[in-house]
Amino acid sequence: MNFTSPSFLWMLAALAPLAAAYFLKVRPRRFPVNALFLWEKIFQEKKASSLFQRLRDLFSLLLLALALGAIAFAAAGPRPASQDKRDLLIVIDTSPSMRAKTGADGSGKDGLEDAKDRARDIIRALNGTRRAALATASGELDFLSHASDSPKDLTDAISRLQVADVPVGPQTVAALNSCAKGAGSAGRVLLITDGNPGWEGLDPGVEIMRLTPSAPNAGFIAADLDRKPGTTRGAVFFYRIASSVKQETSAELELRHDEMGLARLVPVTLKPGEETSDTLDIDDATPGRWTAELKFPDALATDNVVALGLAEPKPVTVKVVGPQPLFFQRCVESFAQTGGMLSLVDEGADVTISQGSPTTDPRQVIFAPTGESPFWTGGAGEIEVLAAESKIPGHPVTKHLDLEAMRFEGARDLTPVAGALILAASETGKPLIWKARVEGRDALVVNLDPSKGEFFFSPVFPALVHGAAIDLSGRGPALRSAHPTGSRVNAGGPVTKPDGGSIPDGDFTVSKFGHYLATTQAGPRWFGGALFERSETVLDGSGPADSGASVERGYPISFWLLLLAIAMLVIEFLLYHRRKAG
Amino acid sequence: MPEPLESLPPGELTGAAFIRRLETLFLLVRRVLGGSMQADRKSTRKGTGITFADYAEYRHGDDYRAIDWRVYARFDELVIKLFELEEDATVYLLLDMSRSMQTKTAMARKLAAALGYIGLNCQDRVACYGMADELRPLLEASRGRGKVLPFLRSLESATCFGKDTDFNTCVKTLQARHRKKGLVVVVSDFLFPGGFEEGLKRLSGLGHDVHAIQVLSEEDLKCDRKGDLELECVESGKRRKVTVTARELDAYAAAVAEWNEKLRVECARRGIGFTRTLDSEAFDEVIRAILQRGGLAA
Repeated sequence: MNFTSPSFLWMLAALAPLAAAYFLKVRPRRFPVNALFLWEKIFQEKKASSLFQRLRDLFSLLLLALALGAIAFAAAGPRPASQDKRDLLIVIDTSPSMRAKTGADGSGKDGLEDAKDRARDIIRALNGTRRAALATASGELDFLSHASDSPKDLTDAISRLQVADVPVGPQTVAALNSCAKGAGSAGRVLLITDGNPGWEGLDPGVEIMRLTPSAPNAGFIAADLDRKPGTTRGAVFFYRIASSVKQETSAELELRHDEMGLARLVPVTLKPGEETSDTLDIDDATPGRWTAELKFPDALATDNVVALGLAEPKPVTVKVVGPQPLFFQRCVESFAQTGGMLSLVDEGADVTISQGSPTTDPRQVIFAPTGESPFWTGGAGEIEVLAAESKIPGHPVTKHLDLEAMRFEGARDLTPVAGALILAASETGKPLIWKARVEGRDALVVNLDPSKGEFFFSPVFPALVHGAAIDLSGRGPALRSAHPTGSRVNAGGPVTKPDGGSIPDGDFTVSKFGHYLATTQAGPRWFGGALFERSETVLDGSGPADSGASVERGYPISFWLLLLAIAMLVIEFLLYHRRKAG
Repeated sequence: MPEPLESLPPGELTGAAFIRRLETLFLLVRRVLGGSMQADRKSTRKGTGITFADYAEYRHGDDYRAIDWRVYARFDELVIKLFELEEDATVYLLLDMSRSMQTKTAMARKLAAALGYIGLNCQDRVACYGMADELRPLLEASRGRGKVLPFLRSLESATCFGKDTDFNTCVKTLQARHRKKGLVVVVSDFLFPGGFEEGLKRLSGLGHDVHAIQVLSEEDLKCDRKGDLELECVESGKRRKVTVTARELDAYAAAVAEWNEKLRVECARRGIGFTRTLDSEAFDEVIRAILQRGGLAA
């Protein structure tokens, strides 16, 4: 047995004055009586308990002394000599599956509450002998506290814990592995998790504490709602449902517009070990907010609902000018037929596609640039491009292009106007694709001749035309009807989150379930944030196994000593009260 | 508990107000008992007393109250009863002056003062003794109104004394001091560790008319303290530690009640007059009640 603060044992020196004070305290009050002889009979009756009467004060003093001793020992902080004193990083899994109810019938508490109880239990046992830090793991590893030996700080942090809407990602696992490696032999990393998948690649140095298994569950792992090709009112809803049911079970799927109400209600059969998927046609699909819901009582409710958005069909209008318009027109028409994203017009177009010289239109895509232009200078001769590289990876115009494989035949030695945004350049640094804005006109210049090198027949051609037109029109990238939480999205404008918060224009991470509203140049556009993560839905407990590592848990010896002291003080108080008040 | 008193404040018994109350009582005695109480054994009129001697023919001027109406009813003759004259009937006042009476001493002394005052005014011989572990004279046997003030002063200034009250010894001392029979009035709480039976038996055996006036306080009847107590006998100073709960309080109240009942029964058995009073009552009301019952005779 060791003590963290052995100096507190000096409190035991107070035993002697305590005893003296106690005997003064219990000294009975003197009470003069006129007929002491009449009490004699009573004394005779009380003789039976006189031994206890004589020992009672000693017993009370013993109780007080034991209470003082217990308090002194508690203050000294006793701990077993074998106690592990390494610092501890307690990581609590806060991925969406931690909302799942535990127990075979789902009647237990949810996983997070269970995890909180375990964490509190560990923190109670700290007893000032070791420090602990607290972190949560979902889409990322989030530290809630520094290493502390103050149970209050840590339990307060635990009380604030909430389940996130973002599933565990590889970056979380990587961060956790780094912690385990960094801790080495001086610390321990303990992950409290429901033991469901999603932790692939976890370092063995991370100790696992598994919670009670979750109840059977089913939920959406994919869903999409989009316009039916060739129609302006029709739509198609696709879904895929995974489950961990043990026997074939029936459920219902509801698809409804948030204002127009129920659109489809279909029965769904959930089979053990199988995924269920189907496509539903909706004849008259109003744009706006949609919700798909699986009516099934299971462990996790959050994956039973998918927020969806359906856009107003409003294609980007494109005008084609130049010497070889046919391929460009075919390309635009094909996009018009499939998704209605581009539409070919003669006048008043959002974007103009031209070849050679620029036009006076406000937004234009210029292929095979030649001659004088406000968007570039030079162009005296052609250049040879061996390999192109992206200067801004992930840019909507170039992200679907295999630049390294593209052949920039007919590229000229041009210098973009000052302030131009270079999207792609040659291995020698010559600009190949750039965006420029001059006197209120936007242009995207593609420094290649599409008639050369069979560019018209390359699969890159329609991707480049589509990306350039969409980007110049200001619509931003195409939005899906629902995005998985944790994914990066650029909605082409500022976004209002489900909780009412706003996100400025640009890339952002979908972090919440529910409906998002993007304000794009093409008008408002709804889309959803949903779980869509198989490992968070199929709660089969096939994740990391319990390490079986022992961690001190429960109240420390000091706590029990204090409890014992309180109990003894209460007993002594009752005895004293009986003596003083009869 | 009331403040214990060793002696009474000056003027308590000798003040004009108190003496007026005594005079009122005396006048009441004259009215109720025709100028004499049962204790009024001294008479200037021939043929009055308490011991029957003979009959005499009624003559004009005789006290018609002395007519024996039974004889008149049987023989149709008016005769009067003649009694032996008792020139010096004596009233012995035994006043408990032990320390157990400290809280009740004012009441006890006032009762003794009232009885002594009436006796002295009725021309009886009055002797008053303080009683504890021994008998101490407060007023040697005296007669006449002139002794009233010295008697009252003596009562007023007397202090409590002794350890345990030894009633039997006190009675023996009284017996040794006075051979003459008389009316013995014992004013006490009768909380005698040695008991009261022997003393009462001896008193009544000596041929005295005995009257016991028991003066108690609320504290005597029931204890209101609980918890760990060190009980201290006010007389002997003996101490006992005890834990008093409601059960002990009930047991004490029962013991006191049993003791008092035993005293009442003992007095009734021996033909001893008995009066019980609390120290909170007015002394003159107690005397009035005794008079309404026909005096101090049992």
